[in-house]
Amino acid sequence: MEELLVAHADRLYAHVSRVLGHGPDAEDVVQDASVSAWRSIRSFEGTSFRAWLFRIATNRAIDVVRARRRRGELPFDPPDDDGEPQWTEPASPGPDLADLAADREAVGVVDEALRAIAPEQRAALLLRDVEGFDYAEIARITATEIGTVKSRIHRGRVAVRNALVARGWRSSGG
Amino acid sequence: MTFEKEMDHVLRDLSAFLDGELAPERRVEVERHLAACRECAARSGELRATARLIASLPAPRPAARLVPPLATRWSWLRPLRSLSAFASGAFVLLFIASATLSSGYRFGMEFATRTTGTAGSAPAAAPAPTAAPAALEDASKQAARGTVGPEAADRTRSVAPAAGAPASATPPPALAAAPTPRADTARDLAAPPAEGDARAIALAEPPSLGSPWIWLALAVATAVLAVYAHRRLRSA
Repeated sequence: MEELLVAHADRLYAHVSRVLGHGPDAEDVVQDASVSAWRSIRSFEGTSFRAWLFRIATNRAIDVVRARRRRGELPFDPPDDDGEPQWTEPASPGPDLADLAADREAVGVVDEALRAIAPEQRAALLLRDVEGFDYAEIARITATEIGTVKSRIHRGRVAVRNALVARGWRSSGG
Repeated sequence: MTFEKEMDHVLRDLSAFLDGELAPERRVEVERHLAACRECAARSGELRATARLIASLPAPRPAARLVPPLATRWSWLRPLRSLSAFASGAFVLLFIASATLSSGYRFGMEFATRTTGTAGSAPAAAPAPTAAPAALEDASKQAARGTVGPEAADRTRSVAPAAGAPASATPPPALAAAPTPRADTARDLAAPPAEGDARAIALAEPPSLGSPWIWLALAVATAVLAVYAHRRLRSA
């Protein structure tokens, strides 16, 4: 059990740190999640220990973000509604988005854009694009419906895309 | 369905399409639309590139080990918890046993006292005062010095035993002939036990389990230790 926790600790820390939007709480959240997983190992009934661990950590991280917002340490939550995302157009032609994979500035913009979206969207998007969970697993991790997961991932991704497009990047057409 | 309407639907499903989360029929429809719609194809490319950028985010690394050594930190407390819980139970049993013996001893002594008399008053019958012998000695000395006449010394001899009689171990024959209840008790205790007194004499032996309060204190101390170890193990 302890070996499993240690094996997942670094990835868990990276995920929690991103969900929190960085800051000093990531280590505490991971440690709390590890201890909580250790204590409640008997309640683990699923097939994926990793998904179970990410569920504990993700929920704790989202709670921390909400608490920070309540204390006024972070701006008010952006809406996490089911409305259609708006696709913004680039102000001026720029480099192709497809060429940005290794671009430091683009990574910085993505990081910044992720911090600006609702923590639930951010968590779902990170669980999909970084951790590679499928929608059903993300729904279990975040205790929501698959439709909600699909909507959160899409709106989060469009929000990041809009942040990049606003800096002048454009698409070559797919 | 109009083309714009279809475009809205495709745009809504683009992320699920890219993630392979669409049903096969819907996937075919989206693919067909993307082949015909340059704008949706461009959006699809942007989202694919965005997903790749998100996936390529550098991973923050922790400064130190994040998982405390959960399995080993308090494992030594497990045998201590079991041992102290067992010891606490044993001490409780010893407390009960010693308390039972102690109360049984007291009850037996009270029973023996009631059946044999006031055993506790026996020492009162012992010869305590030494005034009579001292008076005799003084009178003899005075007679020898000639300060007091032989009659006075004789008077003193005859009075001194009478004054010491109530507490004397060697009372005058007249007093010894009519023994008091105290003298009876002393004689009974000094005499070999009769058959009916055997039980009382046997109960006079103190119990050998020690003070029950010591066992109770040990039981409480080991119970506290067991609870502490249990809580520490649970919180670990």
